[in-house]
Amino acid sequence: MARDISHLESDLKKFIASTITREMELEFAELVAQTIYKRTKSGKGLTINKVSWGDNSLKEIKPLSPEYVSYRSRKILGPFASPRRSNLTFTGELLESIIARIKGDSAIVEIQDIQHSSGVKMKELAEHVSENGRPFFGLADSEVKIVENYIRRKIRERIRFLNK
Amino acid sequence: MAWNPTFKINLLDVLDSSYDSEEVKDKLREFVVETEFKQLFGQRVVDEIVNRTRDQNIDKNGKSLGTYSKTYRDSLIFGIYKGADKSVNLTLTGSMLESLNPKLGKYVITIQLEGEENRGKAQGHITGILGKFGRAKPRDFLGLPSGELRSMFKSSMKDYRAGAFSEILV
Repeated sequence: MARDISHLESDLKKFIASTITREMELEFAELVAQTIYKRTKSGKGLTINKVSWGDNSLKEIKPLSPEYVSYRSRKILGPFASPRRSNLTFTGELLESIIARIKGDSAIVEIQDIQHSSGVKMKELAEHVSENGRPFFGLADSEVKIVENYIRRKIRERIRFLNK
Repeated sequence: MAWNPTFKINLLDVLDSSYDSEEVKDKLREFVVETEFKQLFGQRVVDEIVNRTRDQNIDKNGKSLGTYSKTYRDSLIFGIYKGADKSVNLTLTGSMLESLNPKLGKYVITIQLEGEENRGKAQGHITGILGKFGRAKPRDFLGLPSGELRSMFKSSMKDYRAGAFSEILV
């Protein structure tokens, strides 16, 4: 004997969606933001310049030119940066500008609409580094799996809590 | 190739050890093989393993996962991913624990890890052997104490029979 729940599926899915709070949405978006931030700091970017939920793979960020390494070695760099390692952290401002927030009915992850200390808009800077061989703003397939499984687990926990 | 660490649960054994009454066992035997029950119970076991490891920092026997070595704590990768968080929760990127999933057999649920890399990480944690020469404290997170398993089995059966199992759709 098996339980046929197909006729209830639509209602159950509505119930499941209703269990997700704004705080949870924000937590999930923050997880995505942190995933991009930490992965990029560790020196890994994406293969394709595409702001996407998956359809991408992880790749070491394109190495820096010897001239730029030399320049960086004379400057104060951002957190977790080193002159030789490419991790988009010259001053650290670009990655620090990634935020998660609630907008309307959704939680979003974005690069803040502020200016970099160089005077360039942060979003333009992100576009520039992405278009010039260092895409980073998106999730790789492997990261999507981690985030999705985390979200599923948190929703199951919530359902169990509400069913108690 | 990495070893494939798993946690196998024989449902009939758990049923047998969870209840005293033969009458109750006979009555529940038919539910044990139902796919939805196995999904519910298997997923709860996975969630509990993740919860114990990540949040409670204990292994499958309830023992503390200990502390990370100073070398690891001082490493760049630790600084980036964990920052000031010194808890031992076998979580750096999160990929290993989030890859745990239940494979459903007729009478056996096998908790396994998806992906060669994640299986390799789990092997390292469980055995404490890292590569050819590296050694760390073994941290066997893949399992649950039998009392906990029985308790989870009983609550899952109760919820399943009461129709409170919408979580399997997530």
